[in-house]
Amino acid sequence: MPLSGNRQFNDTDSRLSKSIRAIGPLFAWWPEYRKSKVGVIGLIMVGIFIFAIILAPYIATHDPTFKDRDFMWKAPSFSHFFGTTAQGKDVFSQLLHSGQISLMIGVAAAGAVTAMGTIIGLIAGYFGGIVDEILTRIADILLVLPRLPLMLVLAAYLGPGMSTIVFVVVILGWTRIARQVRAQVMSCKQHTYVERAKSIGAGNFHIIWNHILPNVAGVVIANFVLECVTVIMLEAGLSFLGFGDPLHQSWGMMLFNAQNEGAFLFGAWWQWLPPGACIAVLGIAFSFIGNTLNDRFVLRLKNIKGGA
Amino acid sequence: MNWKWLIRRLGFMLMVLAVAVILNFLIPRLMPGSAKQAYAGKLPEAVQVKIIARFGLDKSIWEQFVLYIQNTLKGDLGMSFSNHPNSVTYMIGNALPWTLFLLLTATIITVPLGYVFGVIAGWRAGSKTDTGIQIGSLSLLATPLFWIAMVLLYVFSAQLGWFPLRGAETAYSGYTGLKWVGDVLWHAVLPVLALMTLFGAYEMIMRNTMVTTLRENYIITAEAKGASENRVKYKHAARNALLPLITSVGIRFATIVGGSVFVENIFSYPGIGSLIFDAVISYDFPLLQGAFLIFSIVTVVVVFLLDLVYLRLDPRIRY
Repeated sequence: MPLSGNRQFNDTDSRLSKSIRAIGPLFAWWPEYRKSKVGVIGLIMVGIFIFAIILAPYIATHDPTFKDRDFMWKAPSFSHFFGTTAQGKDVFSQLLHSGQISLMIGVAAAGAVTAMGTIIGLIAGYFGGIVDEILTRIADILLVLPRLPLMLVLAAYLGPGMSTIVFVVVILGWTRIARQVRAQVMSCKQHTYVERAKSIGAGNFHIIWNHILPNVAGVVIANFVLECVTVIMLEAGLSFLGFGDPLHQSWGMMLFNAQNEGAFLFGAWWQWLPPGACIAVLGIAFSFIGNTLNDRFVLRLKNIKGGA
Repeated sequence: MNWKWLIRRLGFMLMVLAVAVILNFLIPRLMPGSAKQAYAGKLPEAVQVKIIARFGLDKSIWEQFVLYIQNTLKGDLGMSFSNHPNSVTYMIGNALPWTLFLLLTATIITVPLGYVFGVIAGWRAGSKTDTGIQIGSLSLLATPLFWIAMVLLYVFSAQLGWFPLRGAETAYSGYTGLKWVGDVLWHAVLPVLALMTLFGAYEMIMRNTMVTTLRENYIITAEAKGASENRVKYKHAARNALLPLITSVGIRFATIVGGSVFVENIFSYPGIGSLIFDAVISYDFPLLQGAFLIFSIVTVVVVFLLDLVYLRLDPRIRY
């Protein structure tokens, strides 16, 4: 039965269309998004990763922390898909379990970075004046200061651990999103509907929440996805330098251990190749999604059929 | 020449440097545990006394700050913990040329590449070429730099033996003149190649500004008056899209100095990145902070030089 047409005359039909309209906004992006093959591939890749990582305890063939003294630095085989580490731990099982940590930190920290950047961008763009001046100046300075060395100085004093990594990433990482949100807010502040809302006495919070935020949502969401890539890589980098949490091993930590155990010198490529490849593939998948969102909903390249 | 703009930018650069110096002073003093503990905690009594005197750790915070500024302006960044008799300034002075060589070479090669590929991709956004270029640069950007360096080293040095395994020059070779230059270049190929993955960032920026620039009215005008495709592409569109690219090169430079930490470590390159890596492992705070300060100065200088380029290219600022 066609959903369009005289639905208001049919009782069951109208209930159905109501519920579709209710969830409609949640999937409104899909018809436009699906035109990009690359974007769909990215979604599928991330889906596979999430699936594998959630089911890690069932898919993993070994206990990732078990040290098998008879199987040290064994090359990939049927019993150990990606071989074993210097301590005889199964690399494949480690990959699945470490993925949980990498993905969790990545998404959580990216969420925090995005939230902070969005709030700062909204405040700076909406209120303008001296507030804007100060916030923009801080962002400009943070952009020019070498980020990683500053992160390392901070992290060295804070000591290794997951909270250090997240703190350092969030406190120094909000500038890019804040700048983009601010620019977007500045342009939609000019629209007449904002003026109308103001003239009938709407409060600042009401205007930001109802009239400005929906307009910057595209930028925020696209940037959140792209930020996931940055954060996952930063986490890997900081863990590789030894700031990771030894109890919660991420992919970066696996690389750190591989380097420490000398896997590189002894040609045990199976210990360092897979974790890096996982970071890369997950990062690529996220950036496919983020870039598609950016193309379709921020740059608004409507006429594209394929396209990245 | 627009002196007002230039002076304002110069003021901003000085402000960045001031922030870097102040952060260097504040971070150790704001962190849990006292600076006294961080600087002198695990050392013998006699050394502790000396360090406390050197940093004035028993004085008030303002006196400490004045002392710190005086020392920094004199170029005295303290003693390295891990290489004790050596001063931080001395170690950084030895390492800086190598790092600058790597970073500048990589930047000079990648920016034009990013420009060309960005123009090609942005001109026909959505075409097969665009998709291909986008996938390539996204993939490069999403891959950890140190892992790329590891793969390069493993494949081209360890397995194929085309390039040296470590260092910036052959040790004890006694090469001079052209032979030395060739040796240094040969050692730099893989590290520069690893840093060149940042090309993706320039390409993306160029492409995205091309896309938005192509919608401007002056592009339509140019097409309407019958300008050739190449003229519209390079003279009208790319010329304007170039400006955001130049700004981003400066900002990106602040990121690639971080990349040098990983790349130099993997290739055992004797630059500041390797120093930072060792400093992190041995908790060598003065060296770490000194390296941060030097990287800040280098970035600020690069950003300022790019400002001069910007000034040449943007007529709105020039006059």
